[in-house]
Amino acid sequence: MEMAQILMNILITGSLYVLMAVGVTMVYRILRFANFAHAELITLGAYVAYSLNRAGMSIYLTLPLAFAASGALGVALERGVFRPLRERGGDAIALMIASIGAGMVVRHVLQQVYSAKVLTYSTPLVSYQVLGARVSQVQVVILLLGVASIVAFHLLLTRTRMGKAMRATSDNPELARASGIPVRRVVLATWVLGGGIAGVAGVLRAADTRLVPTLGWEVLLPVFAVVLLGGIGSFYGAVAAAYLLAAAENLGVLLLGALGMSTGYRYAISFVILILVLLFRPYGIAGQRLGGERE
Amino acid sequence: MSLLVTESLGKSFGGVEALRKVSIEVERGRIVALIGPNGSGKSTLINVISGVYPPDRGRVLFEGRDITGMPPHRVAEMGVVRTFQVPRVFRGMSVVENLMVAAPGREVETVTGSLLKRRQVRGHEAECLRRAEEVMEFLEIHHMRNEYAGSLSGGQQKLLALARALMTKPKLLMLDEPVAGVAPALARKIFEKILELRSRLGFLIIEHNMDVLLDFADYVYVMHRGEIVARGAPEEVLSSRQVLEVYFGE
Amino acid sequence: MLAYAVDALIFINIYAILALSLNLEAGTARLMNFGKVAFFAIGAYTSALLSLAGYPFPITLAAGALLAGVAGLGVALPAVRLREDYLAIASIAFGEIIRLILLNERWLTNGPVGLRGIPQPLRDAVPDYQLFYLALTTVFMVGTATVLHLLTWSPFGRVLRAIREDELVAQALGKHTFGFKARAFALGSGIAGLAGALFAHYLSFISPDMFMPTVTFAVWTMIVVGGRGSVPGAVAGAGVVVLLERGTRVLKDYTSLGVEPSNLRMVLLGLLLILFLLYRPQGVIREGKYEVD
Repeated sequence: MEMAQILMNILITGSLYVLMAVGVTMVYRILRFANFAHAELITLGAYVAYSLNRAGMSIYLTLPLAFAASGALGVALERGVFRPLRERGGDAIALMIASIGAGMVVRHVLQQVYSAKVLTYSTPLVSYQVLGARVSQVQVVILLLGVASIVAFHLLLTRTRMGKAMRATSDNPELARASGIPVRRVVLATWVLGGGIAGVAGVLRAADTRLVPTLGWEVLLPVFAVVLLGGIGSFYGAVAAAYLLAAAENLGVLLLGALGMSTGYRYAISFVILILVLLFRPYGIAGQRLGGERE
Repeated sequence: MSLLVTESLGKSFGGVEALRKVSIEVERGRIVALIGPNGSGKSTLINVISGVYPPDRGRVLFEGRDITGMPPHRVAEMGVVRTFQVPRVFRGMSVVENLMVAAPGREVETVTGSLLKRRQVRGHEAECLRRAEEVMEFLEIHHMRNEYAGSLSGGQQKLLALARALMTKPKLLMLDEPVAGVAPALARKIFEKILELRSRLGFLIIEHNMDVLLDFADYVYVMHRGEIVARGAPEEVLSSRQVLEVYFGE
Repeated sequence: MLAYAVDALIFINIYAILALSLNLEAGTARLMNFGKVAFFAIGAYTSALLSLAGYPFPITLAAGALLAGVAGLGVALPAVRLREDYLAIASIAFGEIIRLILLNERWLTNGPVGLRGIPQPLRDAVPDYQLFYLALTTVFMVGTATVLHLLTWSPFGRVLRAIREDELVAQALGKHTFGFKARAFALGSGIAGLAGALFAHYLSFISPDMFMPTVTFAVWTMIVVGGRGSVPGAVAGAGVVVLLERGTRVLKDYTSLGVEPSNLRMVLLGLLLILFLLYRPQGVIREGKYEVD
């Protein structure tokens, strides 16, 4: 394959990872648990877009609605499951298990409604040549939205009140609460934003590949790899890690071929990276060690 | 020979010196107190001695043997046992089980040992229970033996933590604020019990209560910003200007 | 009808063994193994392959359990030091890697097609094979439960509970917690391998898609519902989850409810997990408490 094409594929995969990782990393940092139901926030957006697309709406116009649907699901999970569980003294592990349960419920409700069949959107089959690489229209949108969301998030975190409150809360929730930051609202905003963007990413991934009920689950572990590699709670770390992991996957496939191994192992690349990060650098490339000491 | 000697221990966390040339000594039969304001390095010192993290410089000697950098369970096995500022009892276990688990039991605490050496296990359990009863009666928590440890009051949990530490057959007990947050009457009781135990072992105790220190401590070290700034008999040290400065500022 | 009930009971036995193994790790020692299915798969494939190569059942069964236990030790040595949520994520990833190996190493595992015609022990020697297999799995289930009950309330199990409650304190009391956790993880993995072997020989057919992460989540549901730390709870939880699965199938066969049973089952499992964590975190049968006179 052409180097330009590989580079383009890395940028596309990486941009999707950025969009998918934002919600996980913020929830992990602020609420201190690994949210497995994030997979279904991704998937829900994709199915909502499918229904709208079938009704004749352009797939690009469905994006805001997919955002709204997944953001709403995030809020619903927070209010219906995670907040009550925290209030009843549930620890990080209880929250994690509950998120797996919530994910199972949502995924199989979707599977019941839409069946487990492979679905595709009707999208314009237009592609462009960019610097020697072939890029589809959907992929162009992925690249543009990837860049736009990085910029938007940077501005949100540095320029707006809510963004600053989010940063303060993720740095130290107790201190944030004590200094009058409306933590509850910050948490809800985190679910709306993180969930909404995941929904958008779900639509784009489904448009770029295909739509199945396991759409989100298939990318969840790579997304966790991005979050941990970037350092939990670090947005800029996640951005760097997203493209790094995308590069490792795309180049790793070539390596598998060179080693004579099945390309079926391409999914294993991110799993292996995930395990290595957990074993050797669980605080990520950019983040710092977290709450190891109790005294 | 001294029970415990630290030789100019040094420890830094990210450029901040938490310990600087800390040399202390604890002898058997003595209650040695460690005082100083928050963040002066007292807990760090206990953590370094008990092996939670190794020092950057210096040595820890116990009964003349170098135990620097040993992992916590090895240090504890040698007889250097500590408690925590927050009692940290095993909340989901009964009081008596909290005690029994603390007894040394390397022989029977394996999968095969627990399953196959039934007779040895029974003997171990009977002996453990006997000692646990003894310790619970001594510390007057016997009536709570079947309660979940998590359901005890704060003061009772402090007693349980002390009882649990005694079950390990320690030679040196390091107690991190054993009576913080405990009602005054119970606090005195705890120290009276410590006094009774003194003949058999050494104590290194972090404590702020001046009255208690004057009544019970044999020797006092004062820490400030990671260093030992004063030492001596409690009457002298606690009335010295230096100590007042450390606590109340220049 | 009887055959259907016996089949359900056999599955309850096999899943109960799996749940008992997870209960030792996660319920008693708070080792967050979310890769349970990997050790189940290793036991199943090892025993099936050896059996297809002509080795007798007792040997293949032992080998399945042993290899799963060794794999468990291999995972445990680096991984039990991890923070609990990291162990959970790492073990899921490990489980997925094992599944990819089963899918891709066709020379060994026959890839996605799976292994067929796995020999069944004493197939031609007993008149009612299902009843025989029920007896066989019952012996193993009761044996496992008995051993784990003894172990849970032995000095070894007591240290595991202490580690669950506060590992640093257990260390400060002289316990080499790493060794305890590694042994619990290896033993739990070996028992999961045993369950996998029993599973493979019962079905006589296995393929990688039987070893999805959902198996692990179902087993987690069993111990959360049954009561984490409780040996009888793990068995009860397996009963509840398997009967739920059978119930949704019956519903499909005898009613015109337009719901796919597998979907209904997973939705119900998810709801069970959430509801128990919220309203009955100690489960149906609370872990016992050590008491003296």
